[in-house]
Amino acid sequence: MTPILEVYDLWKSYGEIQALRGLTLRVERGEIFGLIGPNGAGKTTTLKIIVGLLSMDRGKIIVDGVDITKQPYEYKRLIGYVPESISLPEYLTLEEFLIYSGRIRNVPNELIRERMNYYLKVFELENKRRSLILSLSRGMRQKAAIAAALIHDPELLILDEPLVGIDPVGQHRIKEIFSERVKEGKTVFISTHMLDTAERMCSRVAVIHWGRIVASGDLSTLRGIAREGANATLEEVFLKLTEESEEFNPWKADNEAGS
Amino acid sequence: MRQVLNVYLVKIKAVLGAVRASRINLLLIYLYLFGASIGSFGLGMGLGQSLRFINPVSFIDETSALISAFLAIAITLSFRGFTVFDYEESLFFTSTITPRAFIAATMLSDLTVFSIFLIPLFLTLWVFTTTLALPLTTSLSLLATATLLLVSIAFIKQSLSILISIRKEPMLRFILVLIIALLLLPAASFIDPCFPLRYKPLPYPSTFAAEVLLHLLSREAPPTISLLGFFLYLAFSTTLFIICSGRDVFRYARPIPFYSAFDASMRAQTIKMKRSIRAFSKMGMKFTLDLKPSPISHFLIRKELIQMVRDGSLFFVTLLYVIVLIIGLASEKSPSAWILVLAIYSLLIPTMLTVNWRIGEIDCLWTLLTSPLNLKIFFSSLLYAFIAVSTSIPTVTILILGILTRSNIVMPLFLAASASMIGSSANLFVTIHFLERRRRATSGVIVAWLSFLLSGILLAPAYACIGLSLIFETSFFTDLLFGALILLYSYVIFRFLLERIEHKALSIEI
Repeated sequence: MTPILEVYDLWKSYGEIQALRGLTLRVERGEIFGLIGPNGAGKTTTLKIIVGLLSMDRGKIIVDGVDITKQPYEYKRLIGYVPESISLPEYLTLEEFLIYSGRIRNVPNELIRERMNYYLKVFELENKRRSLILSLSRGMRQKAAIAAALIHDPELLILDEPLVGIDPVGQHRIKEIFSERVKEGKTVFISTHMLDTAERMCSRVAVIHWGRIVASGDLSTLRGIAREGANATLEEVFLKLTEESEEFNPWKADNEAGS
Repeated sequence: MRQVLNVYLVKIKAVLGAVRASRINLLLIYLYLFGASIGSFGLGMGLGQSLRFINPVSFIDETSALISAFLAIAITLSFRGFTVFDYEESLFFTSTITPRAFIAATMLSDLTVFSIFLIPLFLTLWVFTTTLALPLTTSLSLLATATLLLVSIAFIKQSLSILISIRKEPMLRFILVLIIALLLLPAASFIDPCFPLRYKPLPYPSTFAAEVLLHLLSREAPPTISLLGFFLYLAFSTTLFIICSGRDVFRYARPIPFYSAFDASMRAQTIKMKRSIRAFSKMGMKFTLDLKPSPISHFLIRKELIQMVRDGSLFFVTLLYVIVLIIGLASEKSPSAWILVLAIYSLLIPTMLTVNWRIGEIDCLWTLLTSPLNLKIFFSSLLYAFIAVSTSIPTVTILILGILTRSNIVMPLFLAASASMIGSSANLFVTIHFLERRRRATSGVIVAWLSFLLSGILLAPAYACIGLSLIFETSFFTDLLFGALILLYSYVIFRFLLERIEHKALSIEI
């Protein structure tokens, strides 16, 4: 079976800053895949390129066998995306926003109604359905964005820091939804700083540092790469891997050359 | 006093920080001062000339009405309650600064900022007193009276804001509404001269102030009763302010996002947009997006129209044209020329709509760009929504004016439709062009100005057709032929720009 997502040799720069430097990763179907890394490692840039919000300088991305540069619209039927900082059309009500999200993804009206009612109930937002998004709290907006990303039942759900700002009950519900999707053969790809959550939720993780993947696999594989013991936590493994990958730090190289 | 000075300095730095943040903001202030100063000279001289033939009764009535209107606005603004900027809440309210020191510093900084906007007004006063050749003492007395009046209105506004926040009883609001009605009621005499109530005999603070101003202008000592009434009002507003500012208002303050009056940045525009949505969304809630079967383009047009209703764009465009219609009906000379000017200026509507769309949608574009919807469908729907609004409002206005004044409206109607089509597509094209990553930092004012310029250039052939029609006084059928050519040309431009918009939208980076 082909992987749901393949990223090859991805490069991206913002002016003189090289955000991604030959990033390569592979996400299989039916797994929760985590992308973890320090601030400025390139997590959000990677996700944004995959969903089509940023262009790449070089590289290749294949979603379900489709090269995204060759079919820029088609592959988006397969993905749902929730950004880190969420801005929603504040002049719409929550219900209108979900209807809008469904319609622009060509979801039949009956399915929109069914899924909208389901997610509003799951996220305990039923009493807010006719409220303007302007009046919703940050956590409610986050839930609304996740519901919108799920309204077309995507094969690959991509989320950037999905649990930040959400109450514990909401976090629990979201984790349940992720597990259910994986059971259905769907894939969840999350980028997060919360290493304990990643350890418990993700079947595999990739550690990104200075714009490239320094290690990828399940926890036991990562322990092996980091030469850590069998009881080492993801946090310990992560710290070891990022410390070792300091050799890729371009600023450090510049400083050494300067001195 | 030290506390007041410290808070004052922080507040002034916060406001002026926006000027330092962008040269565009500074440029806008210079443009405002330059433009308003030119206007001030004209206004000052005009007022000076007109007051040579002054009718004392109408002067008191009109000036009193103006001051009453300012007072009514101040009372209306106080209904928002005691508001503070979010940074002030975390910075000052957790310190040892007293409410009175904070409020005093707030008023001082507001007056400082306000005085920058009032420079043209002071210039008007200077030209005005020079034109009337008033002695220096009289000019200074006039200035002092105007300043005291402004300060007292500010006292009233601040005190009532505090009262509204502390006392939630509906009775207080009812009384204030009653006061606003009483203040404005005598103005009905300007519309109907038979209306029995006039400002002059009423013991209003505005009437006392108007009488003082009149006597100063006439180089006479103001009557004791007017002076007494004016100073009693000043004493009342000051006492009210002292009492209200002594309350522990920090607990009742409502924080609002900070933006500077000098800030033209996207952030400040977004905050203003949120306030606008809060104000206008209530009236737009009957018009909703639902799951009734419809083609996606119809659905998207509906969504864009909903945005225009709920963010107030439609209200302001309609208000502008209602005012234009009233002026057009009131001006007895050359209604045809007025209708033509109206058609030419209909180009403003697409610019207004696009600016508001940019502010409201720029951060939400990720929902669209991560969906499989063809961007051409989205942007054509958006353009049709713009065209629907920017054609219908001028068309209705031109039709009403044309029918009532029996003017020829064939060419103005074609011009309005053309301005709508070309203006909408040119504005959106320039807006999308500046959404590319390297150009994103460009100020909205520059984007709007360039959009307007491009629209004007593209409309040149339409203007040429109108010019030919006017010069040669062409027949009705020739006008129709010209009109058809203008529409065809506009449609070609619309289609061309739509293609370019879709192409450019694919390279938007968020």
